[in-house]
Amino acid sequence: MKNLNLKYHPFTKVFKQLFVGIFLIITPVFAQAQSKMVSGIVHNDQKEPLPGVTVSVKGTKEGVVTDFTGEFKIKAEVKDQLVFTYVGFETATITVGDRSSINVTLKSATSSLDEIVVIGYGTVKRKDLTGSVSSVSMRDINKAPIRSFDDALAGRVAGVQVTSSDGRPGSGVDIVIRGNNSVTQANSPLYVIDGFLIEDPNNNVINPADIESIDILKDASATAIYGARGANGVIVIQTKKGKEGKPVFTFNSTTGIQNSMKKMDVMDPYEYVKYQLELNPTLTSTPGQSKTPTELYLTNGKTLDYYKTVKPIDWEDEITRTALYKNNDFAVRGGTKKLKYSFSASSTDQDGILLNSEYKRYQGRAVIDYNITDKLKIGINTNYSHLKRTGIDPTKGNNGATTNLMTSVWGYRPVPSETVDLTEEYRDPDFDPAQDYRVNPIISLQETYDVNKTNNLNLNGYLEYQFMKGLKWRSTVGITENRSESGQYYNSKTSQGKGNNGINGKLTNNNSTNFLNENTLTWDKTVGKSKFITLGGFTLQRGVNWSNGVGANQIPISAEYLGLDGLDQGVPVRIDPLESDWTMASFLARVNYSYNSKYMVTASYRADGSSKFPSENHWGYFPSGALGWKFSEEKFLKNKVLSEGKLRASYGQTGNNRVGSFDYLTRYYNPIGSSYAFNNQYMEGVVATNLGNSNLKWETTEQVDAGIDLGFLNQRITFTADVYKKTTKDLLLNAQLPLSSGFTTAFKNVGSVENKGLELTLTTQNIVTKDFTWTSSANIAFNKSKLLALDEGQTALESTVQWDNNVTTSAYISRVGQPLGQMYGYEWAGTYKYADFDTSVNGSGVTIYTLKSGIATNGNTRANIQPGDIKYVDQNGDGVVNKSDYTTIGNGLPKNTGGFSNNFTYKNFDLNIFFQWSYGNDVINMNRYQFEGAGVANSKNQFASYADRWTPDNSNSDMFRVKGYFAGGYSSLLVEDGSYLRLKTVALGYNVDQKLVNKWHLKTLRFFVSGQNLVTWTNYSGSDPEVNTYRSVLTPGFDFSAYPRARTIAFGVNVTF
Amino acid sequence: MMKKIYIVLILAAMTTSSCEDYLNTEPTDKIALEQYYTDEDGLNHALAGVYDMLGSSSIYGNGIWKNLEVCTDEGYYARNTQTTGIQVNNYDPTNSDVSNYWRDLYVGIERANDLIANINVPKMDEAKRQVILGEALFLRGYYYFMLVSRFGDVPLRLTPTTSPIGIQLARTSSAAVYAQILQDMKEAENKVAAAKYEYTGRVSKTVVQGIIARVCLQMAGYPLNDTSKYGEASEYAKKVIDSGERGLNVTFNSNPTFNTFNPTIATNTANNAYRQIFISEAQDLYDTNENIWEVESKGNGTDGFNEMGGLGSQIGITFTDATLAPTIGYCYGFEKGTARLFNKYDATGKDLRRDWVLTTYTLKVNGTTVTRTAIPFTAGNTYGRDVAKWRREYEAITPKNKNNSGINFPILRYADVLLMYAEAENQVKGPTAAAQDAVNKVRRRAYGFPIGVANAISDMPATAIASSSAFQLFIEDERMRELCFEGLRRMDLIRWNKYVSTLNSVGNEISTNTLNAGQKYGGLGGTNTAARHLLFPIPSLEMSSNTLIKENNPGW
Repeated sequence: MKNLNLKYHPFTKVFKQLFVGIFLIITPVFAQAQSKMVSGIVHNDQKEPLPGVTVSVKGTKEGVVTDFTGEFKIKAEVKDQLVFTYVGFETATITVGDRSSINVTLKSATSSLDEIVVIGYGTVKRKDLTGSVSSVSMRDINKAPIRSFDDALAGRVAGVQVTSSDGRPGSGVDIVIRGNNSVTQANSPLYVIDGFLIEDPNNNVINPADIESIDILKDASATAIYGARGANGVIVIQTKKGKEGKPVFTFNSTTGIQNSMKKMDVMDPYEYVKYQLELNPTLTSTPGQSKTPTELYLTNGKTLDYYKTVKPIDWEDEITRTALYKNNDFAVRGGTKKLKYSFSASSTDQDGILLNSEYKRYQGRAVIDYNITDKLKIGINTNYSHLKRTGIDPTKGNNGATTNLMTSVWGYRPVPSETVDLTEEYRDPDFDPAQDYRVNPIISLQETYDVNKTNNLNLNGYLEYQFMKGLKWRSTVGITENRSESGQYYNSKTSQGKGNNGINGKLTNNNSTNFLNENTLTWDKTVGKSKFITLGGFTLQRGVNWSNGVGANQIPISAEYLGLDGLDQGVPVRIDPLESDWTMASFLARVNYSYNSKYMVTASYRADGSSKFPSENHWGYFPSGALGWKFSEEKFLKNKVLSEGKLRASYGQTGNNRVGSFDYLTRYYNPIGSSYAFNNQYMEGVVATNLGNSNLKWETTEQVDAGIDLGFLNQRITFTADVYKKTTKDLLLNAQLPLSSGFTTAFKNVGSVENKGLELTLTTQNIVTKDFTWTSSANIAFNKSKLLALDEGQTALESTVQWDNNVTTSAYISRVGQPLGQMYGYEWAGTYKYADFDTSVNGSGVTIYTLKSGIATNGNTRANIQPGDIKYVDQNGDGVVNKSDYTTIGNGLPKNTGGFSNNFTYKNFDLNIFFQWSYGNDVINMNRYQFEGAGVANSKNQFASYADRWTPDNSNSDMFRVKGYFAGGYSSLLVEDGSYLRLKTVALGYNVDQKLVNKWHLKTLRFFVSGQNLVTWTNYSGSDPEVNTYRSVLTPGFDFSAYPRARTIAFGVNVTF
Repeated sequence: MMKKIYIVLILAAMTTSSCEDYLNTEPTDKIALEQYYTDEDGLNHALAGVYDMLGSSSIYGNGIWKNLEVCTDEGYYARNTQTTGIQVNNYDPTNSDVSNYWRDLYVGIERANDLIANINVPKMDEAKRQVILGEALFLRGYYYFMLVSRFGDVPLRLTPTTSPIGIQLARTSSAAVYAQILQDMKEAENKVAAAKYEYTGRVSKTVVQGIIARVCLQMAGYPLNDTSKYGEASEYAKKVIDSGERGLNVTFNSNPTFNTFNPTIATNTANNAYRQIFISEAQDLYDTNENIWEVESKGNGTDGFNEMGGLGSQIGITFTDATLAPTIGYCYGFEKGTARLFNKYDATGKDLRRDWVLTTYTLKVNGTTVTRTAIPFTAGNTYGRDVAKWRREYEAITPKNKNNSGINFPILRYADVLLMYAEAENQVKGPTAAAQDAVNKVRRRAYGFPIGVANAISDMPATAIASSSAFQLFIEDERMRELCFEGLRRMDLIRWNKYVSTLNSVGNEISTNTLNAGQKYGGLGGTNTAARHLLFPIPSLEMSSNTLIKENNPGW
């Protein structure tokens, strides 16, 4: 970032001179007969000349730039108005009149300091802020062709790490602010959407075009006002409201196409057949078994070389498509002094790049604010969304990894069959279905019905009463109602439908209602230079969740055409309805004190009562305090260069209550799985389904933050740095219990986690001229997590990943004293080479390779190890590689993440270029296990990279030979550097000339082309390094059968009238 | 102005005064124990939860006979790729088969403890309450028996776990655990139903007595060597015999299909009583005479229940054709019998058990039908035969589940009671006539003879009854012949203190055999066996979360 600073001066100088020059040449062309020459000098309020100020004649294209002495000369008519614009200063407009010399003093605008920041239960000007709060530039975000704001949030704000699990439309996004506090529980921030507090909102219900602002509260001083739920940070979202004035109609339309970013290279027919012959050199098959590769491929005089000419079936091509993205939204906003309104509606239709997958949203919002009297205001903000997601989750198999979608895609036979069209057949007829569960991925995608429909209604109302100047009462009532219906249907053409359960389907409903009432009293008071803002309030919240469903197996084929409507015709399957509810009551108070806008103190306190804990632990208390010193206001530091300088420090405690509503109680139930058959009749057993903990209480996070905000040259350069340290204790840990207790896990308040980090943000206005501007913003965040303690005497927590039903090996370990979620397994050491073996010749003249005695095994029986087999490091030197040689083999958490955004304008064009990166994180590429020789299955194709495997002719290869894999677990072979730099968004817009627009009775008209996920620079060999298919704190960065991520190119128009 | 503020504050106070009420929510679905423990029915449902763990896939559903104790002198795990794992005695304390076995037994114990502690909650008939209490006590004892016999000293928990805090527990000596087991079971003996049920899944008095005999035999042998328990074993086995309500199965349905593959059975009139035991188990028919206690399995999973086990699918006659699997029944064939077992039977095949427990044919698909191909009775073919005691062809329900079946698993058969009686009696009094008679009954049925009539072909030879020790050795083989693959062999070998030596010798025998090189891999487990395998290791998951267990078992 420093480099950028250094470059700044020379660059701008060059540009300035260039432009001054150009204008001096161009100006005469525009000169008109009756105009006269006007000249003058532009100063700032310190009476210093301002170079580079744009001086233009209003309504014309005429304009010049002041030179280094602040002087300008321009031709203008008597009635003309001259407009003086300069970044960081208020614009001045002056009528020429009969003057020929005009000297102007521009006032500093200090706009970024006057920016309003939304904090909990109120707003402050950025200059008065004592906490660490970052604002997201919605202007930039709305340039990206995205369905939901969280798709574009990555890299925008320092310290906010956003990872989506894969490219499936609507797939889960993890937003983690300043590192993970909780070990086994969710780390997503608290959302406050138009004042409504919610922990796990469906962000897809909000149309990003409706969002006015997103502010992210990071330190404890900012978040402690949300007390028990603020520990993971808070994201405050405000939607747009009506503004006084004539109705403004806005219409945005975007149409785009999406393609897969990267396709995996699989073996071509030649390499495939060669591999098959190596895998199974048997010449003739046993009767009744599948044909051998020789029988399949080398008959009728065909040789291996023949397959060099065979055109492959490209399965990944067959199941992916160029998908359409369409988004239209319409809004009208306006109002009078008394009544302001905003109505908007949108429709989004995003086809997935895999067949039969789609995401649709129909959404509408109405916002009304009404001033009944000068003192009494009411308002309502309501949003309704209908979401429909179609398509299967490729990361989920129905019976182990072989049935996962991408396993079928990459593994399917690339050589066309001679008898049938493989793309039309349900399964490959040449292979034994008992050994090979893969089915035609095209049919599997097309025939599986998997649809999730959500109806979400959100309604927030408020009443505000002003008792007297500065004293205000505000009550809000909000309801969020979410109804989600998920249907799966497996017909006779799907593998599930052909399995034991026959044609089957189920329909499940997941519903929730969340109610919130908040009441606050705010008192603003200024006494001399002292300014107080005092806030007090109480809130009540209640949430109810319930689910139910219906399901059936063995649906007769005659009812298949009915789809889910035919569930009644099958054998019913028990689906347990569930219901639970929770309540919260809170009291809160905050005082902001500032003296002369120079010294600032904030203190807040919240008491939260939550029903999720036993009654003696209902209440938790969360204090915070912060100090701010605006040293740039001190006389001894006041200078021209430094326009702002502020030191901030804060300390606070926040909490986390992310456990189930009744996890503190032992509950009894008769789950279907605990039944027993007496006398051939099922009897459902009543058992304790969990172990309660009557001592359960809040998880508490203490955070210390120190920050500095610097602004230079009238905020032309601003810089913010924050360092923080968070310590979370009494973790709500789903702790591993001694199995001898009869339970495996229970919630306990044990363990402790520390996160330390540094966040830097630099915003610069690099070039500002009349026609050309370049502003940029860069941020970078470093976070280090450390597990401080676990349950009673426990030193490590191992985690498995269920990518396959049979896998029970730990893939990750979290050790006390080390970061969370480290990859765990063998250290890979290439392959055994000939030199590792003693040779002898047996009776039949065959050379026998015997592993030399000093060389460790790979876990396999010593005698079975052959040259070309996989080799691991024998960490403890006992000659055998086994579980005791497991070591840390990777780190799923990045060392730093960040983003770099650039905005250019040139005349009527605007261009946004946004880069985002993640550095220092590893990914376990499980696809390579499946497709680089380890996941052996007959007939399964492999990645093209496996062609370079060890063979007697390629005996230096570190890629093990066919059948040369052996392991009891994961190894560093699969661990890759997941760092990447991504050109995430490029948006180019053209604003149609104002005169033309006016002629068409429009206010503005902008055409644009934008692209998302355009280029990714990475060493990761998989299809996308931003991947997290088994999302949890303990298992970060796991890639298996992920939905390919799409690159989007979109065109569109923005109109206001 | 201030008035207005006061009004607001008072309103606020009123709203919040009921705050605590507001925060006291009650669960509405998965609820408190008291809400289920209301009557006899509720208690029976809680009892079903205790029984449930018997069928867990880590215990009798699969675990014991497919993984944990598959490696004996009777059979071996039929995959040459399996070079690590408990199947071949090459594993460590992180092994999930061991860990799940431990976990599920303690889940069963916890459920029993819960039921026992709350037995008096419902208002109900006192006699019926005592029956349920008896079953819970017995099952707790049985689960502890499954633990102590495999792990040695274990944590002994007799009250329900009510909080996750402070629940670490040290190990209790094996002797004390066994004492508790006998105490529980003997208390149960007088509480459970006095008469047997019409079905085999529920514990009645003779079940308790038969299992007490088994527990006592285990105590009498290695490593406890409490030889005083032989007398008690004999006494309890005798109680079952004298009850008159149990007996060897001697009836059968003729089934000509399989006899053609057995060179010694010419017609279907031969006695099929032995195989009928296992056919009935597949057909969900109850043979309450022979099968004293079974783990009941049911269904094919399509009804959403999963009360199945892997018998017939995990072990059985290999059949892997996907198209016909739903009607014939898929079978992985994960266990093959040893030649040693094959050769323990009468070489001419007169002992009808041999050609049932080890397959005489393979299944092949021929177009749309299945054909049986006889395996010739050559010396090489004494190796590599699939374990065929349970065959899916008899399973009544279709479509058949690929991985599981509804075939019941026999925990205790009358034949076992007779053999236990004979063994204990011999240990106490020598090879008495009563002891001989018990063994001979089992053998006569095996040869297809009337069980009450002496028969020179089937009855124990003179050498076997010449001495107490000869009798013991004969019993050891007879138990293998009669009870192979029923989850008993490993514990038998251990109590006879022959486990390591037998496994090593059978392992060498298989891996150095010259008759069938393709089966040499089957010796791996035997050759891997060492003294530490006498006990399973305490699972690492337990060790890491229960610091009161300081040391693992010897060698682990």
